[in-house]
Amino acid sequence: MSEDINITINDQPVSVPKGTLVVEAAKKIGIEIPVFCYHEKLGPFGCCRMCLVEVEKMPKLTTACTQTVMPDMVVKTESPKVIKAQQGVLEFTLLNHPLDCPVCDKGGECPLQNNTFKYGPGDTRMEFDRANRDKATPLSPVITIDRERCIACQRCTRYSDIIEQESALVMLNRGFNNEVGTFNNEPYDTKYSGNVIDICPVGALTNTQFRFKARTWDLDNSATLCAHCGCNCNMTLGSRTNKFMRIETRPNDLVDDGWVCDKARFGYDFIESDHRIVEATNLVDGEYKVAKTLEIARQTAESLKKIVDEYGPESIGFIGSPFGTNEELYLYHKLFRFTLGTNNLDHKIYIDTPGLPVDHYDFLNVETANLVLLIGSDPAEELPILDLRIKKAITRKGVKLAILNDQKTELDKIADLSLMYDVGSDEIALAALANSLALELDIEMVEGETSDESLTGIAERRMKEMAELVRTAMKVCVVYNPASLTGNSIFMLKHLLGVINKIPTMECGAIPAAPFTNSLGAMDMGILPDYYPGGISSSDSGKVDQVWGDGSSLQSKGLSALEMIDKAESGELKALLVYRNNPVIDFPDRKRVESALKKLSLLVVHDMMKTETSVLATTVLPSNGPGYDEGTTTNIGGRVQYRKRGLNTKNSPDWKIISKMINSLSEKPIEYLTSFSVTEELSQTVPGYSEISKKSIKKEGKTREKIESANGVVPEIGKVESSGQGLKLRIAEQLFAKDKILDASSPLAHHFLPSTLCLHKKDALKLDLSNGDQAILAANGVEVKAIVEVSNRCNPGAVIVPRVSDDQGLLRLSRSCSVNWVEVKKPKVE
Amino acid sequence: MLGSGALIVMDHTVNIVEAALRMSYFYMHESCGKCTPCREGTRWMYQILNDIQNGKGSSKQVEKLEDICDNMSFKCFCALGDAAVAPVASSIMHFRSDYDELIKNLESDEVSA
Amino acid sequence: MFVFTSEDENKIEKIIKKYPVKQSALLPLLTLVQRREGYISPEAMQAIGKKLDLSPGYVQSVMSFYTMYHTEPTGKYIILFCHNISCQLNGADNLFAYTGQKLGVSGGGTTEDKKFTLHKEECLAACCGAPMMRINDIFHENLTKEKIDQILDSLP
Repeated sequence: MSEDINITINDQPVSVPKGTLVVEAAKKIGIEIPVFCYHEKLGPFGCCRMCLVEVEKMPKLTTACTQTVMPDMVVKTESPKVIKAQQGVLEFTLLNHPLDCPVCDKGGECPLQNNTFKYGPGDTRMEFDRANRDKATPLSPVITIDRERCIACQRCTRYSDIIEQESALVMLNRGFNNEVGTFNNEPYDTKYSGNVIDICPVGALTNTQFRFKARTWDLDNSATLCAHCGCNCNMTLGSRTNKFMRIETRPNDLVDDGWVCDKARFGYDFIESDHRIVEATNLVDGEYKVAKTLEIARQTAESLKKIVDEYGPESIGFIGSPFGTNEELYLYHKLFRFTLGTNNLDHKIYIDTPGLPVDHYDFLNVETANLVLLIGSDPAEELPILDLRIKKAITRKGVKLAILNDQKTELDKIADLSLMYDVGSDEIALAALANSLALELDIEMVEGETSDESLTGIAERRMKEMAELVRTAMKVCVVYNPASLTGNSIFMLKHLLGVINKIPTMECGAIPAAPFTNSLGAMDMGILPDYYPGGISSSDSGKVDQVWGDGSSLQSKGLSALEMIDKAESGELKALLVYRNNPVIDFPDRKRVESALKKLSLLVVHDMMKTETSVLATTVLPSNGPGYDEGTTTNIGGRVQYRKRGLNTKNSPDWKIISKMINSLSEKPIEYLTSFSVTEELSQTVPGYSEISKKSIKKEGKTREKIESANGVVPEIGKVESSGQGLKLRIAEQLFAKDKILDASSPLAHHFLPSTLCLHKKDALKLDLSNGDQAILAANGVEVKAIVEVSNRCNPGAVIVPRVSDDQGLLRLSRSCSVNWVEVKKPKVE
Repeated sequence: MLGSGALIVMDHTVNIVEAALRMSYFYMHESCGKCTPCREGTRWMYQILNDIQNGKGSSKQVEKLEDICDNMSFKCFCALGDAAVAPVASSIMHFRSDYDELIKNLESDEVSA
Repeated sequence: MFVFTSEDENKIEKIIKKYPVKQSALLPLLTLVQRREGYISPEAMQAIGKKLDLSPGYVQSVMSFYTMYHTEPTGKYIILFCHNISCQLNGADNLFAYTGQKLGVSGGGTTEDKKFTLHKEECLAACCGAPMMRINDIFHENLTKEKIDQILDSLP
């Protein structure tokens, strides 16, 4: 711990840690020192000169944003000298600033306005015409730049340099002619570009969508959460007369560090999309008939019950969503497990289990660890704000980065060691690393050959280097993406975590970094065939009964989502309720999924958008979804936060619809008043959530307690499907994909990529394909067109295909969540 | 009077305002643009001096120049801002009459007009 | 398309070695391109950025700060004409105007035959020989109209 230093500001004493800036020390005791260029996340810079203060015994005024506290320092922020300087600096700042405040979008929330109001000179002595520069030109399709308004504080360019680390936005030219710009006037379109709008202290950088839409003081601002990826960044949704206006950051250092990605800022048009499902419909004689939502909910529950009575509880199933809130998913768990008596619940197509054999790390641990070990994860495309956090940790906090992945990612540039295993060999690669460590520790190893380079593409020597990095790190934060692992590899990963944890004096924790909003919540709420909420195995009937009451344990083993499709195809599954999931597009083998779903006698789709699955439904229920819904979500760091409603709707909230279904079949109905009534109940029943309450999560959320994973058995390496036709297919996540959330009219549409396949040059040579060629991916009797990119993004023998749109239909090429083979060929010449 | 790091000796034939104007142009050009007082101040001073030199100035502007010098002095990020003040401030301090002459011409013109 | 020649590559390797961090080699590399090409094209900025692991935006940011790096093609001879205080007091303004007229590029610019680029420059650190100009790497001091005629006419 660093020692505290005592200083006096305006005769008030304050004690702050060594190294604190005077401007921050003043903030601590409620003394405001005006700033423009200083931003706490960007650190000291000292160019705007707005924060000049007088320090006793210093001959000149000094900038409070660059001056660190010194013992017994005496600071004055309101002396005549300071006031004269503040007025002088503001006069300079305003000298060539246009007087277009009346039509400026920053008006009302503008630091330049506010500082001028408080500290500025009352009039201007400028006798010349103000400088003319470009007004309102596009800096990118989503950001407008007004160079006249710019006061050259360099917050935005420093952000681009320090935070997103792209140096895409820079200061061009010099002196009075300097201006914010990009290389060769190209658009400034990084993944995180929108943050410059928030940090701009004037109206120079504005949100193109929001321009002239509303005055800032007329907005209704809702402190909500982003509902895209698993970071759950805090944001403010601004609306006016119940119309969506804009998204802004709402800094929470424990989650987002004050930033949101562009998908969060510009990717919310879907909440006003025409494709929203806003009413409940029933398929009657081939036509959808609208009816009252709660009435259809009641009918649905009764239909499900009827099927259970006739065919048994195994004949129905629930495919939930990693995008729903905890409350919604919790209620669905209750409906299916207790009201209807089935364990057929799932929310995903990959294999994952709740709980960790090590600590569950939160975002802050990324910065405090000595080593971040990234496994199968591509944060830039999957979890952008985690990507920023890792970049910060590596470049500014001295944390090391080791990467084990089957594809190249942006973070490789700053990694200390980056090893690429062959697509599909993740289980062996993980076993190899675990064994390399276990050998040193003299503990049980995974059986079988793991170190041979031919198995994974990684030389034994290199894997040993990685083991050494891990072994000597003292504190390791493992970030892994369960959705990128094939087959049963998740068990090997958890074994590896257990092994790392056995290293003497090691602190180890992990972040299960699935790229969906509430994957962790979905698992915690028991939307799994083999686990009740809080990671209680459904086979542990004693514990289930203990938590849920006698007789709560079900005999049947549940079906996974993919097994439910199998059973639907074979006719054994009669009814399926799909909640905010789109199996037709997001599950392997579309044709089979469609024919299976068509065989069901009851297919209920409860969703917020029309999908390829909802058109097959016999009953459609409207789900409010982000913007209109409210409830808690659990981010990848285990932090439970409250997603507040941003816009009003007349539609019933999801929890009310689900609760209606439960109550219409229940002898003892439970009426919930708000979503928090459900939160309160689940905090009493879901292990790990006992401290979660409306109050405890209010400010910055609260991490739920760690969920233990059952382990102890060293897993075996499964059979590797080493033979197949063509190349192994690896589908890669793409942040800006054209799907139900971002459609063609999205302001982010300029980011959409064409269908692309990435080859190693060895394979490209064999296939006689080169950069830019048209090619065809073929499997399952399906062909997908793509443009060839020879980028060595993966080892030879595989092809990486970014998932760029729903229309691309990539999942049609795969059959399972294990290794899928695909043929890459040239298109037939007509 | 110190210019850009060199000692320059000028005789009485030199118009000191013109020399100050030339030097203020130099500082305006050299200002990197990072800090506000220097970026804006050097240009403003040049604009005012240009007015005075071209016979469009007023004694109020000379006082304003002095105040701009005060607002820049020791308030910039680096010493270029202070250096930019030197030729202007010292020329006013030591050769005020040169300024007055340029202004007087104008003011007397205005009276006679 | 801009490419470094193998000779460039050798030079660049030596330049980079001089500095503890690659980034420091930016000005020397810009200078190398400026000298060889007479200007620095966007493609060259990208190539330099690649060499030094810098974004092309950063390269342009640095490049655009300095007036002696040109963004448009220049003539065979770049005339930097000092017009700072010492030179001005010694008649640089008239001589600059004279030179501009003589070359047919009043106010500065590049001649049609691409032989000369005339450019006003701030102090070039030769006040003792004011008025002065620099043609490519050579300083010409104590200028007069006759001397300028003689110098420019003698250039091949």
